[in-house]
Amino acid sequence: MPIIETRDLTHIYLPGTPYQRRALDEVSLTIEEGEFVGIIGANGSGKSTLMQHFNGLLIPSSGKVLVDGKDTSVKGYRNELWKQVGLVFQFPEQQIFASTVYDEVAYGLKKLGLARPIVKQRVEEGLSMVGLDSRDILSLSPLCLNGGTRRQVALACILAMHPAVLVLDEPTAGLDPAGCDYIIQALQDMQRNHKTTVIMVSHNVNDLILLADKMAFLDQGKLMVFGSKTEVLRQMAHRDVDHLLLPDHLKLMYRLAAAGCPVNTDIITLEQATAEVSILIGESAR
Amino acid sequence: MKAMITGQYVMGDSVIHRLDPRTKLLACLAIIIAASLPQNTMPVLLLNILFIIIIIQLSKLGIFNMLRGLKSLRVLFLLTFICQVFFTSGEPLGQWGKVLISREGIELAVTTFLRLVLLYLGASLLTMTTSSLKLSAGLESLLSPLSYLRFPVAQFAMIINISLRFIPTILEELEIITRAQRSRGARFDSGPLAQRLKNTLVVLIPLLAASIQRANDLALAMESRCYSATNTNYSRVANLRLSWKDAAAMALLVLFLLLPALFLGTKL
Repeated sequence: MPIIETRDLTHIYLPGTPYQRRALDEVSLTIEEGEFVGIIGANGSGKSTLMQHFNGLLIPSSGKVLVDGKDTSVKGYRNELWKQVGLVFQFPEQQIFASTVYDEVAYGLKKLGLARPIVKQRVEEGLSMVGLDSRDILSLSPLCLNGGTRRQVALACILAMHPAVLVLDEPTAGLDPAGCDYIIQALQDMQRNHKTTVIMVSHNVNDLILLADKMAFLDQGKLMVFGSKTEVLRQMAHRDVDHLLLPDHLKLMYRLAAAGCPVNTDIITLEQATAEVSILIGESAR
Repeated sequence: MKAMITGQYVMGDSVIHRLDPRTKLLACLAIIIAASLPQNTMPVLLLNILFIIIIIQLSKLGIFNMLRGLKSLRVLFLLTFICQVFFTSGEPLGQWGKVLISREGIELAVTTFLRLVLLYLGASLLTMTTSSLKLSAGLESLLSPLSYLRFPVAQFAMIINISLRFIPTILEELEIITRAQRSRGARFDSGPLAQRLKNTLVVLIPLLAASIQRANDLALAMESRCYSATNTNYSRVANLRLSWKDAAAMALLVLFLLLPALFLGTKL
């Protein structure tokens, strides 16, 4: 069953002013429950705008957004949407305001109207999901944590709320590899064990390539292609969008194919690419 | 950028855009004087507004675009209008119980409204046609005589420049943080007042923290590029120069803004 659906979604910023800009142009896509969808695009391609439509922060200039089958342009529904769709903005550690980690994570839970013992349990659960031990940090001030840990806490704030859909904008930007791993682990855990639909926005294909079931590729507000990973990657290679950082091994595969070598371009991982190349070398040696 | 700020600079190449910022600053001052002179009556104010509308046409900003900004001031207009109408004594026009509406009240309300519109148009015309860099350069040059009194003109101009520069940045940040907190259940548009005030804290704290952090970074960046607190400002490429256009603009200004105030104001 589709959990999020957009129909000819168009968003225009500052209509009627000298700064008018069409950020989304007739985007139609359907996201099924439990899927992991990666949204890829360069800076200014409209990915962050699209993301904010998913939990009703923005209202379409034209077209429709349906979440769980209901129209987000209905005000009463839109205002309750935060309970279902958790949104993690870019650099979420910048929204931290509370004086202890516990208060920070508990904020949304209290807004959900949960009882105190459940709040406590969920706070601990949320922190452990992002790989933090709540005994160590519950009573610390978020300000004394390092950047990576603060990001983890900010993510825990949303995870603890158990959203049905989790939308993230560049969650790994600016983190060291260990920090990235914690975040990625948490997202995989959400999708597999909690049946959460995860939508991750990024300009870096490497981030998404192993995680996503499906990918969407946005360019200047238009949805160029939406579908399986291999399909989207092939389209991207075809369009020669270098700034989107295709992984090196995929670039190699597509170039070999373009040069007429018999390689399979329907691959994802480095291991698969290695296997393809060794077959190729084996053939030419023979 | 997500929202258009009232009076935000709009890039352009019109005659007005190319005027020296000092001319425009003085013009704005003249408009403020014209709008606040008590002897200016309704016809004079209307004449002044007409004059500004012509300048707006010259600046190619689009008069409707600018008038739209007036909407954001509607509460102010309404409040002053109501106060003037109901709390001015004079020749009664109508009376309901204790509430009295006088002829003078209505006249005063309308002129006050016109004065506010004049001020708004004048100030927006200045900021919409002058980039913040030029604005602070003009300000610095106009205030430069004060440096003999040991007033730190260059630093003052830099402060103005930086504040203007960061208004859009901070507004954008405000919007993002507000949305992020809304996604965690914070409501800013309903509930009891005390609750709403408490909710604004969850936005204000991160916003303040980010601003202080940024101020720190900026200071460091400026110092590492040898910015110092002397009065010599090396940070500008082209120095300001007045041309015949500025002289013409000044003459027109005196003719249409200040002379009517002096001669017509009391007579009409």
